[in-house]
Amino acid sequence: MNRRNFLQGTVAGSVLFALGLNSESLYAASDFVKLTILHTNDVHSRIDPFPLDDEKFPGRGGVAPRSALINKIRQQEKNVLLFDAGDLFQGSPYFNYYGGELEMKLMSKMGYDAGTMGNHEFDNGIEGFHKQLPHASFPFLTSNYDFTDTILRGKTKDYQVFKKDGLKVGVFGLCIELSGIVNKEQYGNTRYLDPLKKALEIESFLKKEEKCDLVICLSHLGYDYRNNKISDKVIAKNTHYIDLIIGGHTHTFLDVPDSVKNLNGNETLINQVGYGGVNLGRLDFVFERDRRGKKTYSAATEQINSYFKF
Amino acid sequence: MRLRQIKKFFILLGVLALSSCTGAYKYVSSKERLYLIDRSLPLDSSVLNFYYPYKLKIDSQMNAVIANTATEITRGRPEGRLNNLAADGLAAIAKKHQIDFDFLHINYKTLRVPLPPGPIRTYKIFELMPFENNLVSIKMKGSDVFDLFQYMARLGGDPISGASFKIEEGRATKILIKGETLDFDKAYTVLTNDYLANGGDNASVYLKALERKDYNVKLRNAFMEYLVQLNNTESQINPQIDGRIVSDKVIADE
Repeated sequence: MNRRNFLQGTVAGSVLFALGLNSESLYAASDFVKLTILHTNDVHSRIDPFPLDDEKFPGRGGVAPRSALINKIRQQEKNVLLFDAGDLFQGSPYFNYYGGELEMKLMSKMGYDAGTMGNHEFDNGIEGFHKQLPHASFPFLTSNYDFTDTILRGKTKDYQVFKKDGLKVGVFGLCIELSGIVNKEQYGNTRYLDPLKKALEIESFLKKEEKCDLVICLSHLGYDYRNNKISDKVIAKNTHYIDLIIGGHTHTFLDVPDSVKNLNGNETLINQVGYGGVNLGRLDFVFERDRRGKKTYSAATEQINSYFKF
Repeated sequence: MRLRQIKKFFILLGVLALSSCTGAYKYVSSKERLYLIDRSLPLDSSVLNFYYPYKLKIDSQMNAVIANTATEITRGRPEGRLNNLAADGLAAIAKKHQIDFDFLHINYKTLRVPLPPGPIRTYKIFELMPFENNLVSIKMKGSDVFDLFQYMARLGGDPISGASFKIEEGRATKILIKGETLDFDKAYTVLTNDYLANGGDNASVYLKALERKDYNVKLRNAFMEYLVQLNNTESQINPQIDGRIVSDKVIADE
Protein backbone atom coordinates (compact mmCIF):
# COMPACT_ATOMS: atom_id res chain seq x y z
CA MET A 1 0.00 0.00 0.00
CA ASN A 2 1.15 3.45 -0.87
CA ARG A 3 1.73 5.31 2.40
CA ARG A 4 0.77 8.67 1.00
CA ASN A 5 -2.52 7.34 -0.24
CA PHE A 6 -3.13 5.68 3.05
CA LEU A 7 -2.63 8.89 4.96
CA GLN A 8 -4.86 10.78 2.62
CA GLY A 9 -7.40 8.07 3.01
CA THR A 10 -7.21 8.35 6.74
CA VAL A 11 -7.67 12.09 6.63
CA ALA A 12 -10.66 11.87 4.34
CA GLY A 13 -11.91 9.05 6.49
CA SER A 14 -11.74 11.15 9.59
CA VAL A 15 -14.10 13.53 7.86
CA LEU A 16 -16.79 10.92 8.10
CA PHE A 17 -15.92 10.30 11.72
CA ALA A 18 -16.03 14.01 12.37
CA LEU A 19 -19.53 14.04 10.99
CA GLY A 20 -20.96 11.62 13.42
CA LEU A 21 -19.32 8.26 12.95
CA ASN A 22 -16.64 8.91 15.57
CA SER A 23 -16.33 11.71 18.06
CA GLU A 24 -12.57 11.41 18.30
CA SER A 25 -11.33 13.33 15.34
CA LEU A 26 -8.56 15.76 14.73
CA TYR A 27 -10.89 17.77 12.58
CA ALA A 28 -13.81 19.77 13.81
CA ALA A 29 -17.08 19.13 12.02
CA SER A 30 -17.32 22.83 11.28
CA ASP A 31 -14.45 22.46 8.82
CA PHE A 32 -16.67 20.35 6.67
CA VAL A 33 -20.05 20.53 5.03
CA LYS A 34 -22.03 17.39 4.44
CA LEU A 35 -24.63 17.24 1.73
CA THR A 36 -27.16 14.41 1.60
CA ILE A 37 -28.74 13.56 -1.73
CA LEU A 38 -31.83 11.34 -1.70
CA HIS A 39 -33.31 10.02 -4.89
CA THR A 40 -35.94 7.89 -6.60
CA ASN A 41 -36.69 6.99 -10.22
CA ASP A 42 -39.48 5.31 -12.20
CA VAL A 43 -41.87 5.32 -9.26
CA HIS A 44 -44.68 4.71 -11.79
CA SER A 45 -47.64 5.89 -9.72
CA ARG A 46 -46.87 3.41 -6.95
CA ILE A 47 -48.56 5.28 -4.16
CA ASP A 48 -49.62 2.21 -2.20
CA PRO A 49 -47.00 -0.45 -1.46
CA PHE A 50 -46.90 -3.35 -3.95
CA PRO A 51 -49.68 -5.82 -3.09
CA LEU A 52 -48.74 -8.84 -0.98
CA ASP A 53 -49.37 -11.19 -3.90
CA ASP A 54 -46.92 -9.30 -6.07
CA GLU A 55 -44.44 -11.59 -7.75
CA LYS A 56 -41.33 -9.50 -7.21
CA PHE A 57 -41.89 -6.96 -4.46
CA PRO A 58 -44.69 -8.03 -2.09
CA GLY A 59 -45.32 -5.30 0.47
CA ARG A 60 -42.48 -3.14 -0.81
CA GLY A 61 -42.59 0.56 -1.66
CA GLY A 62 -45.35 3.03 -0.90
CA VAL A 63 -45.32 6.78 -0.29
CA ALA A 64 -46.18 6.61 3.44
CA PRO A 65 -43.06 4.64 4.47
CA ARG A 66 -40.94 6.58 1.96
CA SER A 67 -42.11 9.86 3.41
CA ALA A 68 -41.42 8.67 6.98
CA LEU A 69 -37.90 7.65 5.98
CA ILE A 70 -37.26 10.98 4.25
CA ASN A 71 -38.55 12.87 7.29
CA LYS A 72 -36.26 10.90 9.54
CA ILE A 73 -33.21 11.60 7.41
CA ARG A 74 -34.15 15.29 7.31
CA GLN A 75 -34.21 15.32 11.11
CA GLN A 76 -30.73 13.80 11.21
CA GLU A 77 -29.09 15.74 8.41
CA LYS A 78 -28.85 19.46 7.90
CA ASN A 79 -28.43 19.61 4.13
CA VAL A 80 -30.77 17.31 2.24
CA LEU A 81 -31.80 17.46 -1.41
CA LEU A 82 -34.44 15.09 -2.80
CA PHE A 83 -34.64 14.31 -6.51
CA ASP A 84 -36.55 12.10 -8.94
CA ALA A 85 -35.35 10.93 -12.34
CA GLY A 86 -38.69 10.64 -14.14
CA ASP A 87 -41.56 8.29 -14.95
CA LEU A 88 -43.52 9.26 -11.90
CA PHE A 89 -46.65 8.68 -14.01
CA GLN A 90 -48.33 5.43 -15.10
CA GLY A 91 -48.43 2.01 -13.51
CA SER A 92 -51.29 2.01 -11.01
CA PRO A 93 -54.99 2.93 -11.09
CA TYR A 94 -54.13 6.14 -9.26
CA PHE A 95 -52.78 7.42 -12.55
CA ASN A 96 -55.68 6.09 -14.60
CA TYR A 97 -58.20 7.72 -12.28
CA TYR A 98 -56.52 10.96 -11.31
CA GLY A 99 -54.12 11.54 -14.19
CA GLY A 100 -51.03 12.17 -12.05
CA GLU A 101 -52.54 14.75 -9.71
CA LEU A 102 -51.84 12.62 -6.64
CA GLU A 103 -48.26 11.80 -7.70
CA MET A 104 -47.47 15.52 -8.05
CA LYS A 105 -49.20 16.46 -4.80
CA LEU A 106 -47.48 13.74 -2.79
CA MET A 107 -44.04 14.51 -4.20
CA SER A 108 -44.61 18.14 -3.27
CA LYS A 109 -45.69 17.12 0.20
CA MET A 110 -42.55 14.99 0.58
CA GLY A 111 -40.51 18.04 -0.38
CA TYR A 112 -38.94 16.94 -3.64
CA ASP A 113 -36.48 19.61 -4.78
CA ALA A 114 -36.54 18.75 -8.50
CA GLY A 115 -37.47 16.08 -10.99
CA THR A 116 -37.06 15.36 -14.67
CA MET A 117 -39.60 14.13 -17.22
CA GLY A 118 -39.74 10.49 -18.24
CA ASN A 119 -41.42 9.25 -21.41
CA HIS A 120 -44.50 8.22 -19.40
CA GLU A 121 -45.04 11.82 -18.37
CA PHE A 122 -46.49 12.12 -21.91
CA ASP A 123 -49.00 9.28 -21.48
CA ASN A 124 -51.95 11.66 -21.37
CA GLY A 125 -50.31 13.91 -23.91
CA ILE A 126 -48.48 17.16 -23.25
CA GLU A 127 -51.85 18.53 -22.13
CA GLY A 128 -52.14 15.78 -19.52
CA PHE A 129 -48.79 16.72 -17.99
CA HIS A 130 -49.47 20.45 -18.29
CA LYS A 131 -52.75 20.01 -16.44
CA GLN A 132 -51.02 18.38 -13.45
CA LEU A 133 -48.04 20.71 -13.33
CA PRO A 134 -49.73 23.26 -11.00
CA HIS A 135 -49.84 20.49 -8.35
CA ALA A 136 -46.03 20.31 -8.28
CA SER A 137 -44.18 22.69 -5.98
CA PHE A 138 -40.82 21.65 -7.45
CA PRO A 139 -39.31 22.29 -10.90
CA PHE A 140 -39.02 19.78 -13.74
CA LEU A 141 -35.58 19.99 -15.33
CA THR A 142 -35.67 19.07 -19.01
CA SER A 143 -32.67 20.69 -20.72
CA ASN A 144 -32.80 18.71 -23.96
CA TYR A 145 -36.53 19.05 -24.61
CA ASP A 146 -37.41 22.17 -26.53
CA PHE A 147 -41.02 22.98 -25.64
CA THR A 148 -41.07 26.32 -27.51
CA ASP A 149 -43.94 25.29 -29.77
CA THR A 150 -45.99 23.58 -27.08
CA ILE A 151 -48.10 24.61 -24.11
CA LEU A 152 -45.20 23.61 -21.85
CA ARG A 153 -43.16 26.55 -23.12
CA GLY A 154 -41.49 28.20 -20.14
CA LYS A 155 -43.09 25.71 -17.72
CA THR A 156 -39.99 23.57 -17.22
CA LYS A 157 -36.35 24.55 -16.63
CA ASP A 158 -33.00 23.44 -18.02
CA TYR A 159 -31.26 23.52 -14.64
CA GLN A 160 -31.57 24.82 -11.13
CA VAL A 161 -28.86 25.87 -8.67
CA PHE A 162 -29.49 24.98 -5.02
CA LYS A 163 -27.61 26.64 -2.18
CA LYS A 164 -27.05 24.59 0.95
CA ASP A 165 -24.87 25.77 3.81
CA GLY A 166 -22.81 27.87 1.43
CA LEU A 167 -22.49 25.04 -1.09
CA LYS A 168 -23.72 25.52 -4.63
CA VAL A 169 -25.29 22.46 -6.19
CA GLY A 170 -26.06 22.69 -9.89
CA VAL A 171 -28.72 20.26 -11.13
CA PHE A 172 -29.89 19.76 -14.71
CA GLY A 173 -32.14 17.26 -16.45
CA LEU A 174 -31.65 15.04 -19.51
CA CYS A 175 -34.59 13.33 -21.15
CA ILE A 176 -35.02 10.45 -23.57
CA GLU A 177 -35.80 10.59 -27.28
CA LEU A 178 -39.56 10.26 -27.62
CA SER A 179 -39.82 9.20 -31.25
CA GLY A 180 -40.41 5.45 -31.39
CA ILE A 181 -41.50 5.05 -27.76
CA VAL A 182 -44.21 7.68 -27.41
CA ASN A 183 -46.91 8.47 -29.97
CA LYS A 184 -46.22 11.67 -31.91
CA GLU A 185 -49.70 12.97 -31.10
CA GLN A 186 -48.85 12.70 -27.40
CA TYR A 187 -45.58 14.64 -27.46
CA GLY A 188 -46.70 16.99 -30.24
CA ASN A 189 -44.17 19.66 -31.14
CA THR A 190 -41.68 18.76 -28.42
CA ARG A 191 -38.23 18.88 -29.99
CA TYR A 192 -35.61 16.45 -28.73
CA LEU A 193 -32.14 17.96 -28.58
CA ASP A 194 -28.85 16.02 -28.47
CA PRO A 195 -28.42 15.18 -24.77
CA LEU A 196 -24.60 15.01 -24.88
CA LYS A 197 -24.32 18.39 -26.55
CA LYS A 198 -26.70 19.87 -24.03
CA ALA A 199 -24.88 18.19 -21.12
CA LEU A 200 -21.51 19.65 -22.23
CA GLU A 201 -23.05 23.09 -22.53
CA ILE A 202 -24.81 23.06 -19.16
CA GLU A 203 -22.11 21.34 -17.10
CA SER A 204 -19.62 23.93 -18.29
CA PHE A 205 -22.00 26.74 -17.42
CA LEU A 206 -22.75 25.30 -13.96
CA LYS A 207 -19.08 24.72 -13.18
CA LYS A 208 -17.45 27.78 -14.72
CA GLU A 209 -20.12 30.46 -14.62
CA GLU A 210 -22.20 29.45 -11.64
CA LYS A 211 -19.14 28.03 -9.84
CA CYS A 212 -21.08 25.08 -8.50
CA ASP A 213 -19.37 22.83 -5.97
CA LEU A 214 -21.32 19.82 -7.17
CA VAL A 215 -22.93 19.12 -10.55
CA ILE A 216 -25.79 16.64 -10.68
CA CYS A 217 -27.60 15.36 -13.73
CA LEU A 218 -31.13 13.95 -13.40
CA SER A 219 -31.37 11.62 -16.37
CA HIS A 220 -34.12 9.59 -17.94
CA LEU A 221 -31.84 8.35 -20.74
CA GLY A 222 -31.30 4.89 -19.24
CA TYR A 223 -28.26 3.37 -17.57
CA ASP A 224 -26.50 1.48 -20.36
CA TYR A 225 -27.30 -0.15 -23.70
CA ARG A 226 -25.58 -2.84 -25.71
CA ASN A 227 -25.52 -0.64 -28.80
CA ASN A 228 -24.18 2.89 -28.94
CA LYS A 229 -27.45 4.44 -27.86
CA ILE A 230 -26.98 7.48 -25.66
CA SER A 231 -27.10 6.51 -21.98
CA ASP A 232 -25.90 7.60 -18.56
CA LYS A 233 -22.68 5.66 -19.16
CA VAL A 234 -22.07 7.52 -22.42
CA ILE A 235 -22.84 10.89 -20.82
CA ALA A 236 -20.52 10.15 -17.87
CA LYS A 237 -17.59 9.15 -20.09
CA ASN A 238 -17.92 12.09 -22.45
CA THR A 239 -18.38 15.02 -20.07
CA HIS A 240 -16.02 16.89 -17.71
CA TYR A 241 -17.74 18.15 -14.60
CA ILE A 242 -20.70 15.95 -13.70
CA ASP A 243 -20.19 14.49 -10.22
CA LEU A 244 -23.35 12.43 -10.08
CA ILE A 245 -25.93 11.14 -12.55
CA ILE A 246 -29.20 10.10 -10.97
CA GLY A 247 -30.63 7.83 -13.62
CA GLY A 248 -33.90 6.21 -14.60
CA HIS A 249 -35.85 4.61 -17.47
CA THR A 250 -34.06 1.23 -17.55
CA HIS A 251 -35.38 0.27 -14.07
CA THR A 252 -31.83 -0.70 -13.16
CA PHE A 253 -31.09 -1.90 -9.65
CA LEU A 254 -27.60 -0.76 -8.73
CA ASP A 255 -26.48 -2.00 -5.32
CA VAL A 256 -23.70 0.54 -5.34
CA PRO A 257 -23.31 3.48 -7.69
CA ASP A 258 -21.33 2.87 -10.80
CA SER A 259 -18.17 4.93 -11.09
CA VAL A 260 -17.04 6.08 -14.51
CA LYS A 261 -13.91 8.05 -15.41
CA ASN A 262 -14.91 11.27 -17.15
CA LEU A 263 -12.99 13.36 -19.70
CA ASN A 264 -11.12 15.17 -16.92
CA GLY A 265 -10.01 11.85 -15.47
CA ASN A 266 -12.28 12.33 -12.48
CA GLU A 267 -14.96 9.96 -11.28
CA THR A 268 -18.56 10.48 -12.24
CA LEU A 269 -20.98 8.45 -10.16
CA ILE A 270 -24.08 6.93 -11.73
CA ASN A 271 -26.87 5.65 -9.56
CA GLN A 272 -30.32 4.20 -10.17
CA VAL A 273 -32.52 2.45 -7.62
CA GLY A 274 -34.86 0.19 -9.59
CA TYR A 275 -38.51 1.23 -9.93
CA GLY A 276 -41.87 1.44 -8.21
CA GLY A 277 -40.46 3.28 -5.19
CA VAL A 278 -39.13 0.05 -3.67
CA ASN A 279 -35.85 1.78 -2.78
CA LEU A 280 -34.61 5.19 -1.82
CA GLY A 281 -31.07 6.07 -2.87
CA ARG A 282 -28.82 8.13 -0.66
CA LEU A 283 -25.44 9.71 -1.28
CA ASP A 284 -23.57 11.77 1.25
CA PHE A 285 -20.97 14.16 -0.12
CA VAL A 286 -18.49 15.73 2.23
CA PHE A 287 -16.82 19.04 1.36
CA GLU A 288 -13.97 20.73 3.11
CA ARG A 289 -14.26 24.45 3.66
CA ASP A 290 -11.42 25.95 1.69
CA ARG A 291 -8.67 27.38 3.83
CA ARG A 292 -5.41 28.92 2.82
CA GLY A 293 -2.48 26.54 2.66
CA LYS A 294 -4.54 23.45 2.99
CA LYS A 295 -3.96 20.79 0.41
CA THR A 296 -6.64 19.16 -1.62
CA TYR A 297 -7.32 15.62 -0.62
CA SER A 298 -7.20 13.13 -3.39
CA ALA A 299 -7.64 10.05 -1.34
CA ALA A 300 -7.60 6.71 -3.04
CA THR A 301 -10.91 5.00 -3.16
CA GLU A 302 -9.76 1.55 -2.12
CA GLN A 303 -8.13 2.55 1.14
CA ILE A 304 -11.05 4.56 2.37
CA ASN A 305 -13.37 1.86 1.26
CA SER A 306 -11.67 -0.85 3.29
CA TYR A 307 -11.13 1.49 6.17
CA PHE A 308 -14.83 2.06 6.47
CA LYS A 309 -16.31 -1.23 5.41
CA PHE A 310 -18.99 -2.43 7.76
CA MET B 1 -52.17 0.92 10.50
CA ARG B 2 -49.27 -1.07 11.86
CA LEU B 3 -46.29 0.95 12.89
CA ARG B 4 -43.11 -0.96 13.22
CA GLN B 5 -40.07 0.79 14.46
CA ILE B 6 -37.52 -1.82 13.48
CA LYS B 7 -35.52 -0.37 10.71
CA LYS B 8 -33.76 -2.41 8.18
CA PHE B 9 -31.46 -0.96 5.67
CA PHE B 10 -28.68 -2.26 3.63
CA ILE B 11 -25.85 0.07 4.01
CA LEU B 12 -23.54 0.14 1.13
CA LEU B 13 -20.46 2.14 1.39
CA GLY B 14 -18.40 3.55 -1.35
CA VAL B 15 -16.11 6.36 -0.56
CA LEU B 16 -14.59 8.53 -3.15
CA ALA B 17 -12.56 11.63 -3.14
CA LEU B 18 -11.81 14.10 -5.82
CA SER B 19 -9.25 16.68 -6.61
CA SER B 20 -9.88 20.08 -8.06
CA CYS B 21 -12.77 22.34 -7.29
CA THR B 22 -13.38 25.81 -8.53
CA GLY B 23 -15.69 26.92 -5.76
CA ALA B 24 -15.01 27.76 -2.14
CA TYR B 25 -15.35 24.13 -1.17
CA LYS B 26 -13.30 21.06 -1.79
CA TYR B 27 -15.07 17.85 -2.48
CA VAL B 28 -13.65 15.34 -0.03
CA SER B 29 -15.68 12.20 -0.10
CA SER B 30 -18.97 10.57 -0.84
CA LYS B 31 -20.88 7.74 0.70
CA GLU B 32 -23.81 5.80 -0.63
CA ARG B 33 -26.68 4.02 0.98
CA LEU B 34 -29.58 2.13 -0.45
CA TYR B 35 -32.70 2.07 1.68
CA LEU B 36 -35.22 -0.65 1.07
CA ILE B 37 -38.71 0.73 1.36
CA ASP B 38 -40.57 -2.10 3.04
CA ARG B 39 -43.11 -2.92 5.71
CA SER B 40 -40.61 -2.61 8.53
CA LEU B 41 -40.56 1.15 8.08
CA PRO B 42 -42.92 3.40 10.01
CA LEU B 43 -45.62 5.16 7.98
CA ASP B 44 -46.10 8.87 7.59
CA SER B 45 -49.70 9.21 8.76
CA SER B 46 -50.06 12.73 7.35
CA VAL B 47 -49.33 11.35 3.88
CA LEU B 48 -51.69 8.42 4.45
CA ASN B 49 -54.47 10.72 5.62
CA PHE B 50 -53.89 12.99 2.68
CA TYR B 51 -54.41 10.35 0.03
CA TYR B 52 -56.95 8.23 1.89
CA PRO B 53 -59.99 9.78 0.14
CA TYR B 54 -58.38 9.07 -3.24
CA LYS B 55 -57.61 5.52 -2.12
CA LEU B 56 -61.12 4.76 -0.87
CA LYS B 57 -62.68 5.60 -4.19
CA ILE B 58 -60.22 3.45 -6.11
CA ASP B 59 -60.17 0.50 -3.71
CA SER B 60 -63.91 -0.02 -3.80
CA GLN B 61 -63.73 -0.53 -7.54
CA MET B 62 -60.34 -2.18 -7.76
CA ASN B 63 -60.93 -5.05 -5.38
CA ALA B 64 -63.84 -6.55 -7.29
CA VAL B 65 -63.08 -10.13 -8.42
CA ILE B 66 -63.71 -10.49 -12.14
CA ALA B 67 -62.37 -14.02 -12.80
CA ASN B 68 -60.29 -16.82 -11.27
CA THR B 69 -57.26 -18.81 -12.32
CA ALA B 70 -55.82 -21.94 -10.70
CA THR B 71 -52.35 -21.33 -12.09
CA GLU B 72 -50.19 -18.34 -12.81
CA ILE B 73 -50.72 -17.02 -16.33
CA THR B 74 -47.52 -15.59 -17.74
CA ARG B 75 -46.39 -13.98 -20.95
CA GLY B 76 -43.82 -15.76 -23.08
CA ARG B 77 -42.03 -15.87 -26.40
CA PRO B 78 -42.60 -17.13 -29.00
CA GLU B 79 -45.97 -17.84 -27.34
CA GLY B 80 -47.34 -17.43 -23.83
CA ARG B 81 -50.61 -18.26 -22.10
CA LEU B 82 -51.05 -14.61 -21.25
CA ASN B 83 -50.31 -13.59 -24.85
CA ASN B 84 -53.02 -15.93 -26.11
CA LEU B 85 -55.54 -14.98 -23.43
CA ALA B 86 -55.12 -11.27 -24.15
CA ALA B 87 -55.02 -11.59 -27.95
CA ASP B 88 -58.00 -13.99 -28.16
CA GLY B 89 -59.91 -11.96 -25.59
CA LEU B 90 -59.47 -8.68 -27.42
CA ALA B 91 -60.35 -10.36 -30.72
CA ALA B 92 -63.53 -11.84 -29.20
CA ILE B 93 -64.69 -8.51 -27.78
CA ALA B 94 -63.82 -6.68 -31.00
CA LYS B 95 -66.03 -9.15 -32.92
CA LYS B 96 -68.78 -8.60 -30.36
CA HIS B 97 -68.51 -4.86 -31.07
CA GLN B 98 -68.73 -5.63 -34.83
CA ILE B 99 -65.20 -4.47 -35.56
CA ASP B 100 -64.02 -5.89 -38.85
CA PHE B 101 -60.53 -7.45 -39.06
CA ASP B 102 -58.60 -10.47 -40.31
CA PHE B 103 -56.24 -11.01 -37.40
CA LEU B 104 -55.06 -9.27 -34.24
CA HIS B 105 -51.57 -8.27 -33.21
CA ILE B 106 -50.49 -6.41 -30.08
CA ASN B 107 -47.08 -5.74 -28.62
CA TYR B 108 -45.66 -8.19 -26.09
CA LYS B 109 -44.50 -5.51 -23.70
CA THR B 110 -48.00 -4.13 -23.34
CA LEU B 111 -48.64 -7.12 -21.06
CA ARG B 112 -46.86 -5.68 -18.06
CA VAL B 113 -47.41 -8.25 -15.30
CA PRO B 114 -48.44 -11.93 -15.04
CA LEU B 115 -51.78 -13.00 -13.54
CA PRO B 116 -51.04 -14.78 -10.24
CA PRO B 117 -53.08 -17.85 -9.23
CA GLY B 118 -56.29 -17.12 -7.36
CA PRO B 119 -58.98 -14.51 -7.81
CA ILE B 120 -58.23 -11.91 -10.49
CA ARG B 121 -59.20 -8.49 -9.23
CA THR B 122 -59.76 -5.38 -11.28
CA TYR B 123 -56.55 -3.75 -10.08
CA LYS B 124 -54.50 -6.57 -11.55
CA ILE B 125 -55.83 -5.82 -15.00
CA PHE B 126 -54.87 -2.18 -14.49
CA GLU B 127 -51.36 -3.36 -13.67
CA LEU B 128 -51.40 -5.73 -16.62
CA MET B 129 -52.60 -3.06 -19.06
CA PRO B 130 -51.87 0.29 -17.46
CA PHE B 131 -51.84 2.23 -20.70
CA GLU B 132 -54.79 4.10 -22.13
CA ASN B 133 -54.60 2.38 -25.50
CA ASN B 134 -57.49 2.06 -27.91
CA LEU B 135 -58.19 -0.52 -30.59
CA VAL B 136 -57.23 0.53 -34.11
CA SER B 137 -57.66 -1.41 -37.34
CA ILE B 138 -55.06 -1.05 -40.07
CA LYS B 139 -55.66 -2.23 -43.61
CA MET B 140 -52.39 -3.08 -45.33
CA LYS B 141 -51.05 -4.83 -48.42
CA GLY B 142 -50.23 -8.54 -48.17
CA SER B 143 -46.57 -7.74 -48.78
CA ASP B 144 -46.62 -5.34 -45.80
CA VAL B 145 -48.36 -7.99 -43.72
CA PHE B 146 -45.41 -10.22 -44.63
CA ASP B 147 -43.08 -7.51 -43.28
CA LEU B 148 -45.17 -7.27 -40.13
CA PHE B 149 -44.62 -10.98 -39.50
CA GLN B 150 -40.89 -10.53 -40.13
CA TYR B 151 -40.96 -7.78 -37.51
CA MET B 152 -42.64 -10.18 -35.05
CA ALA B 153 -40.14 -12.90 -35.90
CA ARG B 154 -37.20 -10.61 -35.20
CA LEU B 155 -38.65 -9.94 -31.75
CA GLY B 156 -39.12 -13.68 -31.18
CA GLY B 157 -42.93 -13.57 -31.30
CA ASP B 158 -45.75 -11.22 -30.26
CA PRO B 159 -49.31 -11.82 -29.03
CA ILE B 160 -51.53 -12.64 -32.03
CA SER B 161 -54.97 -14.06 -32.68
CA GLY B 162 -56.39 -15.41 -35.94
CA ALA B 163 -52.99 -16.11 -37.49
CA SER B 164 -50.08 -18.49 -37.12
CA PHE B 165 -46.48 -18.73 -38.30
CA LYS B 166 -43.13 -20.34 -37.71
CA ILE B 167 -39.87 -18.63 -36.83
CA GLU B 168 -36.87 -20.19 -38.53
CA GLU B 169 -33.51 -18.50 -38.02
CA GLY B 170 -35.24 -15.26 -37.16
CA ARG B 171 -37.48 -15.32 -40.26
CA ALA B 172 -41.24 -15.75 -40.31
CA THR B 173 -42.33 -18.68 -42.47
CA LYS B 174 -45.54 -20.63 -43.10
CA ILE B 175 -47.66 -17.56 -42.37
CA LEU B 176 -51.36 -18.42 -42.17
CA ILE B 177 -54.12 -15.85 -41.80
CA LYS B 178 -57.40 -17.39 -40.63
CA GLY B 179 -55.93 -20.74 -41.68
CA GLU B 180 -55.04 -19.64 -45.19
CA THR B 181 -51.63 -18.92 -46.71
CA LEU B 182 -50.76 -15.23 -46.81
CA ASP B 183 -51.51 -13.75 -50.22
CA PHE B 184 -49.13 -10.91 -51.14
CA ASP B 185 -51.60 -9.41 -53.58
CA LYS B 186 -54.49 -9.27 -51.16
CA ALA B 187 -55.14 -6.54 -48.58
CA TYR B 188 -55.64 -7.55 -44.96
CA THR B 189 -57.01 -5.74 -41.93
CA VAL B 190 -54.97 -6.02 -38.75
CA LEU B 191 -56.52 -5.12 -35.43
CA THR B 192 -53.97 -3.60 -33.09
CA ASN B 193 -53.57 -0.79 -30.58
CA ASP B 194 -52.96 2.88 -31.30
CA TYR B 195 -49.40 2.56 -29.98
CA LEU B 196 -48.34 0.10 -32.68
CA ALA B 197 -50.57 1.71 -35.30
CA ASN B 198 -48.60 4.91 -34.79
CA GLY B 199 -45.36 3.05 -35.43
CA GLY B 200 -44.44 2.52 -31.76
CA ASP B 201 -41.91 -0.13 -30.73
CA ASN B 202 -40.29 0.47 -34.12
CA ALA B 203 -43.26 -1.15 -35.86
CA SER B 204 -42.95 1.32 -38.74
CA VAL B 205 -44.69 -1.14 -41.07
CA TYR B 206 -47.99 0.06 -39.59
CA LEU B 207 -47.30 3.50 -41.03
CA LYS B 208 -47.82 1.98 -44.50
CA ALA B 209 -51.52 1.65 -43.77
CA LEU B 210 -53.91 1.79 -46.71
CA GLU B 211 -56.68 2.64 -44.32
CA ARG B 212 -56.94 3.24 -40.59
CA LYS B 213 -59.93 3.12 -38.27
CA ASP B 214 -59.71 4.25 -34.67
CA TYR B 215 -62.23 2.71 -32.31
CA ASN B 216 -63.23 4.22 -29.01
CA VAL B 217 -62.61 0.90 -27.27
CA LYS B 218 -59.89 0.74 -24.64
CA LEU B 219 -57.83 -2.43 -24.63
CA ARG B 220 -58.07 -2.72 -20.86
CA ASN B 221 -61.85 -2.38 -20.85
CA ALA B 222 -62.18 -4.89 -23.68
CA PHE B 223 -59.96 -7.38 -21.86
CA MET B 224 -61.92 -6.96 -18.64
CA GLU B 225 -65.17 -7.42 -20.52
CA TYR B 226 -63.75 -10.69 -21.90
CA LEU B 227 -62.70 -11.95 -18.46
CA VAL B 228 -66.12 -11.15 -16.97
CA GLN B 229 -67.71 -12.99 -19.91
CA LEU B 230 -65.42 -16.00 -19.35
CA ASN B 231 -66.17 -15.97 -15.65
CA ASN B 232 -69.86 -16.46 -16.42
CA THR B 233 -69.18 -19.76 -18.14
CA GLU B 234 -65.96 -21.07 -16.60
CA SER B 235 -65.00 -21.29 -12.94
CA GLN B 236 -61.31 -21.01 -13.83
CA ILE B 237 -59.77 -19.38 -16.85
CA ASN B 238 -57.16 -21.62 -18.39
CA PRO B 239 -55.63 -20.33 -21.64
CA GLN B 240 -53.43 -22.69 -23.64
CA ILE B 241 -50.36 -22.53 -25.77
CA ASP B 242 -51.64 -23.92 -29.07
CA GLY B 243 -48.69 -23.66 -31.42
CA ARG B 244 -49.83 -20.52 -33.25
CA ILE B 245 -46.18 -19.43 -33.16
CA VAL B 246 -43.49 -22.08 -33.26
CA SER B 247 -39.89 -21.02 -33.08
CA ASP B 248 -36.60 -22.83 -33.55
CA LYS B 249 -35.42 -20.73 -30.62
CA VAL B 250 -37.04 -19.78 -27.32
CA ILE B 251 -36.31 -16.27 -26.14
CA ALA B 252 -36.17 -15.66 -22.40
CA ASP B 253 -38.58 -13.12 -20.94
CA GLU B 254 -36.95 -9.79 -20.16
